[in-house]
This record gives sequence, structure tokens and C-alpha cells, in this order.
Amino acid sequence: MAEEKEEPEKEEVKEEEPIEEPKIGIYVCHCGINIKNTVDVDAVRDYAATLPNVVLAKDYMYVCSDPGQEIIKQDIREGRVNRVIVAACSPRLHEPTFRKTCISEGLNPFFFEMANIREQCSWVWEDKATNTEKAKDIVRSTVARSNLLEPLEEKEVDVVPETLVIGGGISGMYAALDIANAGYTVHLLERLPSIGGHMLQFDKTFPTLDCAACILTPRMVDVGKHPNIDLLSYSEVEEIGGSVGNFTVKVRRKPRYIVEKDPVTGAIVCTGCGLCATACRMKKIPNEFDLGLGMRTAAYLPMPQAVPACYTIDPEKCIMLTKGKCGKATLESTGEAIKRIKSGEVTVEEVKDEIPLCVATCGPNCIDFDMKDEIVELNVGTIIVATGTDVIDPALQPEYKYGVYPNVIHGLEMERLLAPNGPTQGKVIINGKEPKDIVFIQCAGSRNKQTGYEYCSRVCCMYSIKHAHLIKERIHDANISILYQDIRAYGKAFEEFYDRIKGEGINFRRGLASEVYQRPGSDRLVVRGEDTMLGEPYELEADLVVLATGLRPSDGVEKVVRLTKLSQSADKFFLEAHPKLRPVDTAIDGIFVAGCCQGPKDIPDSVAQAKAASSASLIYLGTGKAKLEAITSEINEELCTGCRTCEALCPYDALEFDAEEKVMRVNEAICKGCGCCNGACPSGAASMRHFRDRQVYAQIEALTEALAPPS
Amino acid sequence: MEEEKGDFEPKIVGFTCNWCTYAGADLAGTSRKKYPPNIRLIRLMCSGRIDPMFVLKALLNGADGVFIGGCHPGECHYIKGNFYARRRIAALRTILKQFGLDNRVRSEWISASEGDKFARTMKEMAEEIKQLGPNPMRDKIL
Amino acid sequence: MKGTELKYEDLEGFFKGLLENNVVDALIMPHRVGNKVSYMLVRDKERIASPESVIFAPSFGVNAANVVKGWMIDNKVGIVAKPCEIRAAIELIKLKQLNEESVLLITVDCSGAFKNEDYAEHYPEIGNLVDSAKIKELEGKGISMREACAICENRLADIGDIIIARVNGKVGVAGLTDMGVEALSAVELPLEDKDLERKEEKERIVAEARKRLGELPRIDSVEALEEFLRDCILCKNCRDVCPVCYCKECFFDQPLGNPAGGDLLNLAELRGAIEVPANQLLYHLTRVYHVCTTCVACGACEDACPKGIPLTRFYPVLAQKVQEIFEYVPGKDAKEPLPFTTYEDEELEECLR
Ligand SMILES: Cc1cc2nc3c(=O)[nH]c(=O)nc-3n(C[C@H](O)[C@H](O)[C@H](O)COP(=O)(O)OP(=O)(O)OC[C@H]3O[C@@H](n4cnc5c(N)ncnc54)[C@H](O)[C@@H]3O)c2cc1C
Ligand code: SF4
Ligand code: SF4
Ligand code: SF4
Ligand code: SF4
Ligand code: SF4
Ligand code: SF4
Ligand code: FES
Repeated sequence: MAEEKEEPEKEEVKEEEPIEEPKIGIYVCHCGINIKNTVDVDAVRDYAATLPNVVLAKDYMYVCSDPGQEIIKQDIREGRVNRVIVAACSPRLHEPTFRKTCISEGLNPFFFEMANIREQCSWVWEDKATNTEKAKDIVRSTVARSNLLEPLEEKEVDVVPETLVIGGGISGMYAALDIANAGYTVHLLERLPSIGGHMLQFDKTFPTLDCAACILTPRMVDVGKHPNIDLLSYSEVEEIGGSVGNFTVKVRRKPRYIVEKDPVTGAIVCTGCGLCATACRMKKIPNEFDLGLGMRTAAYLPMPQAVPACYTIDPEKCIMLTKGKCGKATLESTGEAIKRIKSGEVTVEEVKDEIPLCVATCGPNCIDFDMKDEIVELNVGTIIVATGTDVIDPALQPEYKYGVYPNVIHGLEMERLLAPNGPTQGKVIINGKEPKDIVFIQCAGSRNKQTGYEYCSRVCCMYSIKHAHLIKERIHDANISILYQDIRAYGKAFEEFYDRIKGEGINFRRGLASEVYQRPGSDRLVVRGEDTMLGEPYELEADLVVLATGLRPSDGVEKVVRLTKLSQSADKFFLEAHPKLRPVDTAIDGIFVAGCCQGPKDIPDSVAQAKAASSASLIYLGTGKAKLEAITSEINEELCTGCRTCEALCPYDALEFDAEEKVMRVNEAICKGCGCCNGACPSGAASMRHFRDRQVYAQIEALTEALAPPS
Repeated sequence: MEEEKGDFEPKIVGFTCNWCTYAGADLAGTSRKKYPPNIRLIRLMCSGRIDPMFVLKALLNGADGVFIGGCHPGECHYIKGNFYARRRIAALRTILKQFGLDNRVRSEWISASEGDKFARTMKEMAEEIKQLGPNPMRDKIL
Repeated sequence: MKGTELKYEDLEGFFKGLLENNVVDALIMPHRVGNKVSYMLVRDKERIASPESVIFAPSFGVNAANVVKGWMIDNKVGIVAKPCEIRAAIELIKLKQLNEESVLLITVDCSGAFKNEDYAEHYPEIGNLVDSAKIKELEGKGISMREACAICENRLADIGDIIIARVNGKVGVAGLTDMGVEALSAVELPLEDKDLERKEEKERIVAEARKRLGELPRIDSVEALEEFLRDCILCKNCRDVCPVCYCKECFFDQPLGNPAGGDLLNLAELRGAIEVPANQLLYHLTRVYHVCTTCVACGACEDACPKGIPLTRFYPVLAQKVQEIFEYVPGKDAKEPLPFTTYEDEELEECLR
């Protein structure tokens, strides 16, 4: 149906003026000698002139050059042509160039087409005669298509100049800081009471052995007091709607039961003095930040450097909140008493039996047991997901006896034992004594089909080497072995670091352990395995076994996946738009990923990605506009049966079912124009602009035309 | 047609996605890989856009072969278009197989960096279809 | 499954009970008009008379699913029909052409069927219901079953909400879904654990059906296909009666699929000469692709063809091949996604080249 006449289309609801009768201009390029040498350019030009609605056909040495483009411009300007075909190189190279040429003369750029007679013709075969025939076919197919093209509109939407960053680890913080420093508002959301992420749990960082807290805490403070950063700690995302430029987000702020800021003035209320924690009756609660190795109270600050420095009362542990009673005080009596204290009616001393110990000691009187969940609604132009990682459950490899023997620990626990702000103030103590024989088992959880984590976690080799060094620093006569499959020292200065530590008398042995067991009658462990280098079995005794556990997407990632509608790769980390060229973009415009939530990586890589994601975000915020894909799908409601097949397929969830009318609708702000919907819709109700059935059909007809038998 | 098996120039219509196979074909060109000039590509944005009806249409119109190209599974520019394409093509070829038409339809996953593979596939396909002879539909009034 | 055993004549009470207790607002079920069997949509329970004499009748007219296609109603309709019809209804649920909640699917054991006109003509010999021995006997007299039924592997009721099975001179009634069990309890049937799976019988049927399928003439080349479709006049009846062809306006009724006038002239100019009204091959090959995962092999298309083209040898036979590669049985489970809406990361590569 190459010559099917355009009838005004019924599906085009907002049909403007009818499309002008095509007047096609064809420009055949010599590309110097690149095309001319193996294609008879003149013959192609003359042939093109005979095709339907072709009003002129020209050839030129370099059509893409300024004078070449000028020829086209003139023809458009003087009304000779209203559709342009350049028969030259690949549209992947110069389609954008010539579309601009058209735009500059007021011609809709989607009336431009390229016939690829260089990359796919003149360059791949030498025989001029056959090449010329092929070039003619290509031109004929392009003309058939050109005749049926429609003008398309490149739409833009306004961008709300604010960003939401989900996750307050090093990645989220850096992304937030860059955007805030550029002058835009950032909402930084962290589900825990403090930002900081895993990095705050470390003593030193490889390969430079910088003190983690020393470099991180100043940044945390910057984040905490940045005028452009709205820090939403102890909060979770509950809903995300909308699309690039204007996402609507519902955030649930969990109650801390301690007032952080004055709701009206914004002034700090809890000063972080910590008297409540000292007073709290509920003492022996394992501290999550120390992975349960240290203790905290029910009123707590997860770590001294916490930002915000506001205490939190743990609703699962505080007996006032679980049982309604603490000491003699009850919830009612406390509420009453607090009111009376605030009004100045009574002094704390006078009601001290009616209130719990924490309330009694809190100077600014900021404890409020009636605090409830609060829902905050945000409108943001872009979203950066930086939800990081958690460690793989070491118990997935029962042969290593994690959880069975207290002297089998994992890497993150080792970090806490080494950290000066940790439960042992940085002394390596296990089972109440200093270990002498220490064995590290690499790749715990990772690179393993059984555990389901087949990837390399990328940081464990280096952190174990770091641990070995830090232990040596503290226990000089420690006898340390690292059991590995391969040492992956791939990063900048990693190999040098590895080399240096090797020189410290650490014993590196190739061949992972097959099992760990306890020597009967003692707490000494035996690690058994095979040395794959020597090809012989080994048996090592240890006071401490450290499993270099790998990283996996953080807890609760499924909810983030569901809300953002982002895709995950096979390893369940977030899937980037392109593994090489768009590593922080995602399938959804305006949503970016940064840091370990996209895949295991070290701190410098996380920061680099965070800065990349913020710059990607800033393009939207800075221009204030988001361009939408012009080549989108549309649904012809008269044809659509509402079978929802296309909806199930759309990779972007761009299709919504109108339950009222029982038809699908395309959200053009989301549609990326893949055409999967069109390819699946039997009656063609879903129709991809610029690649409509009839446009493709016309090309098929044109390419098979010469195959018809002579009549 | 008077052309005999093995001794004719097959016409092959190709449907490829823009991001991988079309780009791979371009790369074959830029790296001056030579392959017989039997193929003419129709560029779509994604192999997921391919409606098997396109293939049927081309075959019934007399195309001697139909080539379908897309990104490698898992690497579709639109994430999963080629997974759907794979199901559709598999179904279509299963149908065509009954009539011995399946060997005129071939699909390959060819990435933007596989100019070589594109050229190789084109060579093989031209060869295979020469062996099959012209599409019987060429003679028909349809 | 939960169910009970009834006498044939108890079925009347059962169906009446469904209406009486407002389990359904209406029933679509077979009824008899003289020698002929057709469907009725019944709301007044008094119009149901001796259903046992007709619901098992080996007669195939329309596919009942095609009757309710697109009924997106709030009322609840019970559909009493053969397995292939209920399977089609389940596919329509997946295609959103039927509300799962607004139908109560009651599947009746099928013994294989005759075209309704054949049935009516030979009613005196065939009777109200048949068994395999009787079918053989009839075949000997030159009264043969529909080809679709001869190759049907799914004659035993094993899908839907409720199944009605013929077992040892009685009928087993059982609920397969919660909705089905609730319906049975609402009419106060004494329910107990009931196993109506009938593995061996099923195997026997499948074996027989496969054998018959193997005996069907194959359309194994393009030439054979052309020959097969030679007489097709493109009336598209086969599509209209097909329960799983569900488009509001079929592609082949649209200008692109059904060119006319100037478009045709243009095409003829391009190609020298073209077949009119159009090319049968494109229509049938496209349609078989469109129904390849959902075709329930009911044979309605063949029955409807005015030119007597034995379409069973085309549609169900080809569709089955496709269903095999997806390991998909249409109508087995309303929850199972349609094959073209899902995928596995690694699959089917062997089918591509
Ligand atoms: C034992 C160990 C030692 C390491 N040592 C080093 C080292 O020495 N040097 C180095 O370069 N790298 C090291 N790493 C790697 C380093 O931890 C990571 O590169 C870094 O933490 C990544 O930061 P992130 O912000 O992406 O993720 P994270 O640090 O995991 O931060 C993510 C943050 O997001 C929050 N979050 C998660 N989900 C949600 C949600 N749904 N809503 C709101 N907030 C959420 C979390 O609470 C957390 O605060 C080590 C890793 C481990 C496990
Ligand atoms: S596949 Fe087609 S008919 Fe079905 S819902 Fe989508 S657009 Fe409508
Ligand atoms: S073209 Fe692609 S992105 Fe757009 S609606 Fe269709 S399937 Fe979705
Ligand atoms: S196709 Fe099967 S279920 Fe349908 S009528 Fe025939 S034998 Fe019965
Ligand atoms: S019912 Fe028969 S004649 Fe009519 S279109 Fe179908 S096959 Fe052709
Ligand atoms: S194609 Fe024929 S056999 Fe298959 S479901 Fe449709 S009418 Fe029944
Ligand atoms: S043949 Fe295809 S387009 Fe026509 S009604 Fe059937 S499914 Fe729809
Ligand atoms: S973009 Fe290449 S297959 Fe989807």
C-alpha cells in the first residue's frame, strides 16, 4: 500500500489541519567517493525522481556539508518540497543533523527520512551494478514510508525544581549535597534515625586507610545544616506517582517520640544531651549500629555522630510504648503531667511518680508518647535512589557455622570490633579475649550458586586485607590467614595496598574453606579446605574466623522497586538504562540510581556515581524542562477491546486501563516508543507513531514490489 | 520464475531494532565487512515492535527470506522488547514449519558491536536461501 | 475437590436450585427443540425441563463462549457447556472479554459431538447421550463425529468452577474453585471429598485422540496450503464463530487488511496483478497466529465454513504445535498468563533459526 492516500485519521482526536499532499525532495549524496565509487549515484537519482510524489531529486558531493544543507533549506523555503529524504549514510549518524535542517526552515522534523545507502550498501559490496539496484530498493522503500509520515510534536513538561534522594548513605549524601549546592531543594530521606550508611560503621577505609568517621562526619553535618536540604530521617516512602518533572511522593515520618524541631519555628528542640538515654530503664538492648555487639537503651542515639542529633525512643523496646507503663507512670499520667509541667503548674519534682525517668530528666521537655506517624507530601522533579546494600546472610553457608559459634563473625561485625566508636572501643576482643590465630574466608555468600548470589561483591577482598592490617596494628603477634579464590585488587591503588599488606606477614592461601568446626573441649576452631595452588588439603586452627560476606540489595528494596517501578537486574540490584553509557539513568526518565543499590562498589565509585546522578538530575532542574519522547504509541479507542495485553507487556508501565471506557490509554509522558504494544495488539488498536503498521507495510510492499511476476 | 535453485539472487527483507542490529549492520559497513547485497533492512525502534504479520506479509509477497534482528536477550534498549519478540517469532516459525517455510525466516541477536556477526549472518543466510531456491510465492498472483 | 453424586434426573433440581437460590441470575444451557439441540439463556427456572436429556447430547452448534464474549456485566450467569467451550470462556477471561466474577462455569463431560445438523438428522439413532461403543457403532453406519472431537484430548470435564461428570450410570458434581464449591453448598448438596480426576480414562482418550490426529491428512507445503484454501471465499465466518477471535474490528476488516478501491488498484499496479477480494493465505496465516495460543480446538470454525473447508486440520492442529513450545494449555487456569504477555530469560532459542 505504498501509495495509500492519507485519509484524516479517526484515531487522531486532536487533529489539527489535514496533512499537506506530500512533495518529496530526494538528495542523493556522493559522500565524496564513499558512495559514488560503488553506487551509480546518477542512476539512483534519476530512478528516485520517478517514484510517487517525488517532486525533485538532486545529487551532491556532501549533502551534510553547509552548502549541501543549504540546497535542502532553499527547496523547503521556496515551497518546492515538504518532505525530505537524504540518501546517504546511516540515520544513526546524520538523522539528527538533517532534522535540525528541517526545523530551521519550519518543516516538521518527522517529515525527514534517510535512505542508508552507505553503511548498508556502498561499503559492504563492490559490484556497482548490484549495489545500484540495492540503493534503488532502499530509496523506494524510504519514499513509500515518507509518503505516509505524519508530523509529530516534541513535547516538553515543566520540572519542579526539587529532588528526592532516597537513602542517606555516602551516595545519597553526596548526591544531595551537589544538588543543594547548585541551589535546588533536596529532600533526603533516610529510614534510620541517622544518615551515614555503612561507611559510618568502619574504622578505616581501604586502600588509603583514611579514618572513615573523620572524613564522613563533617559531610553529615553539612547535610544536616544545609539550608537547601530537607532531611527526612526515620522516614519511608509510601507512594510515588507522576512522572519526570513532577513526581508526587508520599513520605511517612515515623514517630521518634522525641520532638526534633519546633513544628512552627523549625528551631531544634531535642539538644541531643542524652540524659534520657542515661535515665532509661531498658538497658540491655542490642544496638543495630553495632550489629548487636554493643548495647543501647530504649531511648537512644544510634551512634554518637548521628545526624540529626536527636534521640529516638524505640517503640518496640520502650515499656511505656509496649505496655503503657514505666515504673509507676502510665501513658495517661505521663500525658497529664507533661501538660501540667509545660503550663508551669507543677515542677518535675512534684509529679516525678507520674512520669517515667526519661521525661523527668529531659530539660527541654521534648518527649511526647502521643506522637503519631506523619505523612508528608512532596512534589519533586527528579528522584535519586541510593538505598545501598546490606550484607548477605552468612548463615546461608551452614558449613561455616555462623550463628553457631560466637567466634565466627562476618566482615561488618569485624568493622565494628575495629572501630574506636564500637562496642570494644576498637580492641579486638572475642569470647572475652584477644584472638591470636585469625582466619578470613573470602567470598562468603558471593560467587556462589548455592546461596543464589552469583556475582562478585567487589569490596570483600579489599576489606579483608584492610582488616588484616588493622588487626596486625593492634595485635602484633597475630597469625592471620586469608583464604581466597582470587584476590580482586582492581581499583586505583588497590594492588599496591595488597602488596604492602602481603609484606606484613599475612598468610594468603588460595582455596576456600570447605568447613569450620570447633575443637572438642575448647573454643578453638578448625578450618578445613583444600589449597588449590598446592593441590593439598589444609587444616588451620583459629580463635576467630571472619567471613568476608558479600553485599546484596538492602532490606526492603522490594518496596522501593514496587513504588518506583524500576527494574532489577538478575542479581536484584537496580537496573541502569545502559550498562556502559547510561550507568546512573534508569528506564524511567527522571529517576536515577547511585551507589551500591545499583551493584556492589567501593566508596569512591559510590561517590562518583552519586555525583553523576546529581548532575543528571541537575540537567532537568537547571533547564526546568523535560523533553518527552515524540515517537510514542497511541491507542485507537474505536479498535481497542481492552484486552490489556499491551499493558502486561509495556516495559515502562506507560499504559493505563480506563475501566470506565474499557480501553487502554497511553501516558505519553512515560511511553518510550518501543512499540511492544503495537507488536502485540492483534487488531492494531495500539499504534506506534512513526512506525505505524501502514508505514511498515508500505516499506514491505516497496521492497517486494520488484518480486511480482511480470503481468 | 525461470531461476534455478542455487543460481539466483535472493531478496531478503530484514526487520531490525534501531539500537543493536541496525547499528551492527552500520558497523559492518564502517568496518568495510563484505557481504552479499541481498538484504534490505527496515528499521524499527525495537524488535518488540515486530508484528509477525510483517514477516507473513513479506513472505507472501515473495520475499525469499526474512531476517529479524534484535539486541541480545537482556540487552534490549527497552529492557524486554526482544523477550517478547522471541516468543512471537518462535510461535510464527512453529506455524511456518508445517509448510516448510520456517527456514526462510531467521532471527539473530546482533549487538551494535557485532558488525562481523551481521556480515557473517547475511552471508550464511544468502547461501541458505540460494539452496532453498526462490520463494514459491514469487510466481503467484496474490 | 468437593462434590457429590447425583442421579441423572436430579440434575433438574440442581439447575433450578442455582436460579432459585440466586447463585446465578441466569443460566446459559443446552435445550432441545425437537430433534435439535441449541442454547437457551434462562432466567425462569420453570423453563428448565429434563436437562439430563440434553446437556450430554453429542451435538455441537455454536461455541457457548462466543455467545457471552464481551459481556462485561455485573450479573452472574452460569454457563453449562462442553469442555472446549468452557476453556474458551477461560481464555476470554484472560483476554478481559469476560468478567471472572460474573460467570459460573459449569463444565459437562463430553463424549465427542456431531455437527448439530448431523445430530438432528440422526437423532433417532444417536439419542440423548452416547458412549464410546455407541460412537463406534454409529461410525460404522457412516455417522461420524466432528473431526475436532475426534482429535480432542480434553473431553472429560476438568476445568471451570463446577464439573458434571458421567460416572457409573450416575453424575458426579464437584466444585473446582471456591466459587464452585460455594455454589454447590448454596443449593445444599451434601459435599464430601470427591475424586473425579479419572486419570486412566483420560489417558485412554488422549491416546485415541493422538492416534486420530496422526491419521489426519497433513498440510505440509505451501502448495498444499494453497490447495487446502483454494475454495475459501474470505467470508470470514470462521473468524466470526471463533470464540477467541475477540477484536472489535478485525484487522482484516480494516483498510490495511482489507484494501479496496483505489488502494487495491495501486497494489495491482505495483504487483501487476493481485488476487481479489484478497489473499486467503495472509488472512488464515495471520489469524492462526492470532489464535495460536488461545485456540481451544473446538472446531467451530470448520462447522461454520460455507465451503466445507476442513479447518480443524489447520487451526487447532497448528495452534497445538505452538501451545507445545510454550507448554501452554488454553483454558487450563484463568490465573496463568497468556504466553505472549510473559517470557523466561532463557528459552526458545532453538525455535529462532
Ligand atoms: C564490611 C565492609 C567493609 C567495607 N569497607 C570499605 C572500605 O574500606 N572502603 C571502601 O571504599 N568501601 C568499603 N565498603 C563498601 C562501602 O560500604 C560502600 O561502598 C558504601 O557504603 C556505599 O554507600 P551507599 O550510600 O551506596 O550505601 P549504604 O552505605 O548502604 O547506604 C544506604 C543508606 O540508605 C538507607 N536506606 C536503605 N533503604 C532505604 C529505604 N527504603 N528508604 C530510606 N532509606 C533507605 C540505609 O539505611 C542507608 O543509610 C565496605 C563494605 C562492607 C560491607
Ligand atoms: S492489546 Fe490492543 S486491544 Fe488489547 S488493550 Fe492493548 S490496545 Fe487494546
Ligand atoms: S510504545 Fe513501548 S513504552 Fe510506549 S506504551 Fe507501547 S509498550 Fe509502552
Ligand atoms: S472439541 Fe472436545 S470438548 Fe469440544 S465438543 Fe468436541 S469433544 Fe467435546
Ligand atoms: S469460513 Fe471458510 S470460506 Fe469463510 S473465510 Fe473461513 S475458510 Fe474461508
Ligand atoms: S480457531 Fe477454530 S478451533 Fe480454534 S478456537 Fe477458534 S473456532 Fe475453535
Ligand atoms: S483474526 Fe486477528 S485481528 Fe481478526 S478478529 Fe481474530 S484476533 Fe482479531
Ligand atoms: S531495542 Fe534492540 S531489541 Fe529492543
